[in-house]
Amino acid sequence: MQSADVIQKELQCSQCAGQRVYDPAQQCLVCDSCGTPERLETPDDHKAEAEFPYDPNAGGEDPRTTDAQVVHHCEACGGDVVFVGASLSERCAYCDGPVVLRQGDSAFETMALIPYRVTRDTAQAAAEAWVGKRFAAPGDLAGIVARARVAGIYVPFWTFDSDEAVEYWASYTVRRGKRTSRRRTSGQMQVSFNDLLVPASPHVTPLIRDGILHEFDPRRLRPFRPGYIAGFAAEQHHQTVAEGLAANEADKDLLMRNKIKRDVGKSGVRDIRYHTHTSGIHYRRILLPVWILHYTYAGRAKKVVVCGIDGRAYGERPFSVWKLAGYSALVSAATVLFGLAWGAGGLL
Amino acid sequence: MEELIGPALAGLALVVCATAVGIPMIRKLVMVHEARHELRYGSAGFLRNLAGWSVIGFWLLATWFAATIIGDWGQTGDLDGAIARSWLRLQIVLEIVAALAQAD
Repeated sequence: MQSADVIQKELQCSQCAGQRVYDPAQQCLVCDSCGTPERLETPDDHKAEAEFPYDPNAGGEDPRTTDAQVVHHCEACGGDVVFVGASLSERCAYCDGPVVLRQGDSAFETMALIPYRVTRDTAQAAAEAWVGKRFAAPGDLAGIVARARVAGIYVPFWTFDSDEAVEYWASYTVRRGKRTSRRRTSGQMQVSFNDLLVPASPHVTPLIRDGILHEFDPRRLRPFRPGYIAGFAAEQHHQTVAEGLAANEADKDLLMRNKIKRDVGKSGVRDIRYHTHTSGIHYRRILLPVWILHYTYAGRAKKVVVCGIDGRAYGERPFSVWKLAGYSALVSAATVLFGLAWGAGGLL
Repeated sequence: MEELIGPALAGLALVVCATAVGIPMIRKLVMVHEARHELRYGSAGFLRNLAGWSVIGFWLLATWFAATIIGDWGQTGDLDGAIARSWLRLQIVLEIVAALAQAD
């Protein structure tokens, strides 16, 4: 983060000295007073795509920077967000809980971000449309969600690349007539992960990531400039690279096992064990824009998250037990009728 | 007509039991549907949400199998004979269950 003076200068309108905020619709800074737009692109924007090598055996991490910005700390979920310019809310963007202010925050420097392209109104409509399309949702859910409002926040993410030399052992099922048996197999394969997105915040789950971030285009990355986050909240990076890699272990393990299953290419692949030699680790510390809509249903806090890049929505939803029971009764009755007819017909 | 009361009550009880057991199955069905249409294909979240879908097949097959015995009983009036005639069907059902479990 830059010093407060530099940030203030960037956010001040060159025409009327008014405060400027980033407008996703126009993709530029716009003055709140006179409406003068200013684009933030620079000829060096393509450098934001750059990835940085990491050697887990070499040790050493980027130095943390401690800045004098005021951090909004949520007492409910522990989230820490900063605002560039004026504070936008006294509520937590992640959980809508109350926040307290504290000075300074030790964080890692953000390398790049993708600016907002989706406006607040579009995000609100996308969140409501997502909720409206839920099967077996409570009847009053749409009304409750319509009363909630989205909040914009830049969430810290990692992108990781790696090359994996995998050696695996597994077993699979073989059928011979009516008999089945298990056979052991082993193999080797090369796997490359490219731009695996990993949330660097405990507030965005991998499931929500997979719901809203279907495509990641590094060409959309821009070098970090305070102007991009003016008008939004942002969470800073607090994880070391080693911590980011560790946070990705469970997902990577699941993806690896799925790739091994496909490499074996037989049915009933089980008992997978593998050893991998990882090389070529590259990473980026980036911020991605999301809109979060909080609502409470039956006393439980839930959220719908909308991607600030393409407007894709995903989130948490409650189920109506009565609707589930109704659908279950219909399917059960149809299955029972089919079975009764089958049995009465004397078939097999 | 009286001989149909037993099979009718058994069929009704089966619908009630299958409905109760089916509530979490329908929930799983909705989650699988949402995962297939809304989560990034092949991602970790996609794989996690799809895992366990075979329980839906187990539920439907078990319900169908029990119903075939009741249907046979209602038609012939011979419950013991209906159960005896269901063994071959049970073997086929178990084969399908094994195939579903392996595909999950």
